[in-house]
Amino acid sequence: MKDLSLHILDIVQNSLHAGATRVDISITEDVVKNIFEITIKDNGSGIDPGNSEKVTDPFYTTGTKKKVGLGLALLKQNAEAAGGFLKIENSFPRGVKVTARFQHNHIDRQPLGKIEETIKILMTAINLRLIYSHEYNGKIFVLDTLEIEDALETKNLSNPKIVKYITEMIIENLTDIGAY
Amino acid sequence: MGKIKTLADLRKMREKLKSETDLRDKSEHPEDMVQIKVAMATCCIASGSRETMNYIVDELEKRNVDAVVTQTGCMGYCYAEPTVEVTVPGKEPIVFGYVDEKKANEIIERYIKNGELVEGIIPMNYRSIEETK
Ligand code: FES
Repeated sequence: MKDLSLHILDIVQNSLHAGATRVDISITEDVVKNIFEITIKDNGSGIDPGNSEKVTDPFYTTGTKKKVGLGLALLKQNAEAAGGFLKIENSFPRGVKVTARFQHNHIDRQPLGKIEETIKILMTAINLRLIYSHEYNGKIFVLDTLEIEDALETKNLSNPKIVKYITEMIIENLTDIGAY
Repeated sequence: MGKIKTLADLRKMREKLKSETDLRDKSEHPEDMVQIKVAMATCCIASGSRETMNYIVDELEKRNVDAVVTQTGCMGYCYAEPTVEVTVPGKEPIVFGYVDEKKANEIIERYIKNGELVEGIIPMNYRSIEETK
């Protein structure tokens, strides 16, 4: 993967396969503490405890075609190469929480890339409430698809015009908090 | 109209959106529309499927083509990523391989709009392991 926003898209695919109806993507950047952290939490079916070791095995799969382990293995490798780690845990009451931590200024930390392009794809997922929050040195931006649905009085956020507004909104706010 | 930044800005756009777009839930009658599925598994993403899908969404909008674009898992044609399945109403689904922006453009203009065949079709008699079981 070229950048972290692509990793995020990939990890969320696992959540969607696990039947998640809610996914929380949180990015925390703290330049002083030298932290870049991504957490992805879902309410999908979770990982069966016996498999928690195996999910970062690149050859682990939950079906003939789904290579669940590959994406997590790649992310783990990249996090470790950038002085960080990857943690996968079951979250309460159900679902999985994936945490990827990097050193913010590490030369091998991949750039975030275009996170709005990732959100754009995820907005086409049916019945998914997506909450994306991004904190940069204490300033925070939160996007919640449920709030947007209410504001626009529609359930159909995959409409291209709406997606365009939301992309714009993300770029504006990330610029505002200093993350872009 | 300035830039959209807050929920309040979005709320202001609501009436405008309602009047110029069709906010019907398209997924209710997918069979009457062109359907496009973009494979979005790990290797697909690494080979550019996100860019392909967003390009398709943007271009369909610009060119006023009504279609439902969704993401799907690996379709089993990994050797030809990014792969895209296009179903035009009344026709068999067709899978195209190596769909970059140039190919996507051709698919929209020639196949979807004009019904011409374009190169890059993955033969459907090639079935993945999963499907032949
Ligand atoms: S993993 Fe991309 S098409 Fe199979």
